[in-house]
Amino acid sequence: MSAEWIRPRTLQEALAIRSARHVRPLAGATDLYVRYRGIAGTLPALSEAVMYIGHLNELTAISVHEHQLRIGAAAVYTDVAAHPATPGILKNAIAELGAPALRNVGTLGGNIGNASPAADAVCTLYALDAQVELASLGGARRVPIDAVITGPGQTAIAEDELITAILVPLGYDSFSFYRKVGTRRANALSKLAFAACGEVEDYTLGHLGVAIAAVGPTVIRSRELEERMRGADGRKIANLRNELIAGYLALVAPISDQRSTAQYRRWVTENLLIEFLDRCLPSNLNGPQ
Amino acid sequence: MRHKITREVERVDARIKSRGELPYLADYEFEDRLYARVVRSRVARGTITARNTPALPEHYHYITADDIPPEGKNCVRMIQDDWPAFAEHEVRYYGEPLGLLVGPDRDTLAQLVEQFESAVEYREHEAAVTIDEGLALKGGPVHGSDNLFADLHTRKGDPEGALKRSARVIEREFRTAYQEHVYIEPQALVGTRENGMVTIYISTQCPFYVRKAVSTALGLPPDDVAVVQTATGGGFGGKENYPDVVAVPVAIAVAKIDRPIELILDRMEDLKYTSKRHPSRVRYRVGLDETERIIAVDVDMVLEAGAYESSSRVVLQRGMFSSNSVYEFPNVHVRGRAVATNNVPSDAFRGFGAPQGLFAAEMLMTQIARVIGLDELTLKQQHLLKQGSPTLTNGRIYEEVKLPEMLEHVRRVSGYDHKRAAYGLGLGRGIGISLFKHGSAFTGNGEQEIIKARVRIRKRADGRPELLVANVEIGQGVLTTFRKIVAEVLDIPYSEVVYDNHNTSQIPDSGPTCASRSVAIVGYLLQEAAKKLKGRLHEPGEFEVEQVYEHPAHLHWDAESLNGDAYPSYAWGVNCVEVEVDRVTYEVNVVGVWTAYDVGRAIDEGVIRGQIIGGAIQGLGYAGLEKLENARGRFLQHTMADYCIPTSLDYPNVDYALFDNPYPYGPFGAKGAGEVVFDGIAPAFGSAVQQAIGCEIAQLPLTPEYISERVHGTDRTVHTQRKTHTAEPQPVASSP
Repeated sequence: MSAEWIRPRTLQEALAIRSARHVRPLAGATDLYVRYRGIAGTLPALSEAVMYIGHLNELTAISVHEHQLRIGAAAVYTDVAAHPATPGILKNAIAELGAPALRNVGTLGGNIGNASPAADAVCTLYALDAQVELASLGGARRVPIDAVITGPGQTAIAEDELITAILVPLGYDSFSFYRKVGTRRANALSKLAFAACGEVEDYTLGHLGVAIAAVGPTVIRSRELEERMRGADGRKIANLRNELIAGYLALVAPISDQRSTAQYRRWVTENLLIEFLDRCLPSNLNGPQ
Repeated sequence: MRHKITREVERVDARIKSRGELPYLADYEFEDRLYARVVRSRVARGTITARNTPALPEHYHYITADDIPPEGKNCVRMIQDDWPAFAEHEVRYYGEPLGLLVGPDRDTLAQLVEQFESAVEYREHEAAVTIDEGLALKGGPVHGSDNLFADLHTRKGDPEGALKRSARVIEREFRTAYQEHVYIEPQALVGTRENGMVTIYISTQCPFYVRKAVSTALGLPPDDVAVVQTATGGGFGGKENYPDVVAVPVAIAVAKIDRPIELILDRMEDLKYTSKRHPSRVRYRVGLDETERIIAVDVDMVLEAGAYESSSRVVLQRGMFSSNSVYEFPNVHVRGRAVATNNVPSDAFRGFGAPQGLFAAEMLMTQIARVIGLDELTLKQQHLLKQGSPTLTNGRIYEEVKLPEMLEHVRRVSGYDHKRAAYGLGLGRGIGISLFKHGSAFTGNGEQEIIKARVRIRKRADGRPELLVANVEIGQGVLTTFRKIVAEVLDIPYSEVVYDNHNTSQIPDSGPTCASRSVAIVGYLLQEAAKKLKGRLHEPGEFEVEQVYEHPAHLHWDAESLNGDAYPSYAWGVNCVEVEVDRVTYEVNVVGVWTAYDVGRAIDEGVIRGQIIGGAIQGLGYAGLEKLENARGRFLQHTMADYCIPTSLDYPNVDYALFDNPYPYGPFGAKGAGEVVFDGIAPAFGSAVQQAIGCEIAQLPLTPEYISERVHGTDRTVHTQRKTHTAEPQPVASSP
């Protein structure tokens, strides 16, 4: 099956192609080749023209500017994890993602573009308040990650845009809590994932992000519930505990599928909330007791 | 003091396999080769009302039942002839072959398969896909009038009377699910014609099974078909009968088209449509006397056989004979049924029914112990089989039973006694021990009446002995162990022994590579044949010696009543598994695995170690990780991402100890070892999980989802408060 393959030489050329016609951007292909796979012995049956962007230097660089980490959309996971400025929670998520071979080619940009509700690295980007840089010939815009992913496989990325970078604010993770519940220890897809990180100052909670993956059509994050925790000390968190748990459980809408059950996902979400509110937060807010 | 034969040598296939240089079937070149794809049913049960066969492009062929020669037969011959090569009017399972597309280009074939499958019209019928639905005859019987491929009984003593006079009756039900083999390479073969003969190159455990199936379908004498085994990266039973199912359609195509034809299933196709381990439902009624001794056991075992019989009758027998584990109960009745459903036929899988029976029996003992307030191991030891004990089929245990000292060893190295006491109940940690056995070789009269194994050793002109046997390497090390046995008798280096002919036209039928029989049965024949060759290697020219199987005279078996010695010998095992259950996610972390085995005498410690570790890891996958669900006849987990087998990070190292116990009819005293190493892991894991979560478990796999249900008390399949002395057991449960 002959699919059309396009290999631009520069980002500018890639954007020009995007503006001119429909092409599917592709970097590590770790999701797309699974989606397009034919039977053994045949090439992937691509149903649309694809544009390879994994080689573009503009998209693979990782750099730090003014308390912000800029991760090129096509930087591979291995490089992201190895960068000294990468927040620990993102490193943890990458360490549990796929297998080394996959991490050597897979990219955060692809993980966002694929918009799977079970994407675990993306879950930590929600908690970190990351923004996504989307570029077109007309210029670039920065959009919060939760505004980019709108549903399973659905994004707010325009036909002529490319994801060019992920912008992660630094210093938002003086504490963090990450737990992936996979189908096995390694090389596993998520049944669900829970990511939380934030700042503590004077025994009170400053910035906070809490994100839960694979328990709804997109990663779940509630700014309203986070707002209620902001400024709280250990005692206040203890008082709020029950309504916070109830608040989050009202937001999740897990399904039963080939990997797990809705009931299990709900129970474990509740347990992880309890773990976070009763153990993780107090130990960070109250210090060692 | 270890016997010399046990000392580890370098496996003859170690280097070529480690380097990735061993060619598998897909690596072979055949001139003018065509490719084949199977056209499959898209309903689980239905009548074909119109095929609407689309037009074929030039150079493409569509092979169906119409292409079977008049002297042939539309069947895949196994024990019965009921499984058709191609469905003609009725389809009994989703994915059942309707035809075979053959042509030069695989992309074109992929498109044609889509066209051909979607063109077929069916009158769809209600499908029965679970044990309960099969027993309830949902949609009408799939097979016969009662949906039972087999309904067997075996009886010892007076179980009904003993149950009636019991002071206490305890009932339990256990269920186990599917398991997929995940052999290294999917089902694969090339059919061709060589020297005028239909010749099949195939990844298989049983070349002569393939020959029998192909010659039957083509209506040819068996000698007019040649089968050549190619590298087989693990079989686990999945390359026992299923290769026949892919070989027969290709052979029919070769007979018509006369070109080499390659059929290699895609991995996803293999996961979706090939045979799995039999799911089971085992119910017990156990009677105890006033002293809390078990005096009666009534077992009702049902295996889900799928749409055709395949080996289910025999798997069922081994399951039934394993349902008392290693215990002697004076009064026993076992009923076994293999129920038909609209699923792909279940078939052989490492353990062959024994894992289902042993899981149920071992869990039963732990739960009885809890009910009567006795320590699990104390209850088990009170009923342990010993040398001379009658078996549940009224046979005898002839060999010395080393379980007591094996158990003692495992308790010591695992720290079981201390941990069991310290971990309490329901506190997240647990440790469990299982005891079990596995009969070597075919069940009942299989070896003497059905297989009648025959081996030859050729003294070649160059003075080297060449083994002529049908048993094949499937990763279990037989290329090395057979050579060692013969070399030891002849007192020559094992590298001098030639063993590379896997063509059925040039070797005698020493039977299939399965049932823990290769070393135990065929290895013994080779040892005896080698004795005839001893001192003759320097004679001029070429000649052969032969050895034919003779059943040991002290063994007897009545196939009608299932009475007598079900197996010539047993391998014995003790497994201990320690776990931690995560209180947040209900995931089970295996902390330690300790094992002890009596496999007679190990022919090679390295080979046995490989079996022990591989068996334990595969067993742990079966126990807790590998989930394969079926909805409306379709498997939901049909990718390697969703059907999760363990990786090296999932489980710890496996500790092992071997207890020498030479068996007089095994080579240098060896018994079977390939399956016993799988059998006991799940119940040891189950017992440990029970302690960790503080409640009974009743199924496999013990997924975090199931454990969460047990912990929350919402699972309805476990009846911990079941009434004693209930009426007759309910024969049929119709609710899903």
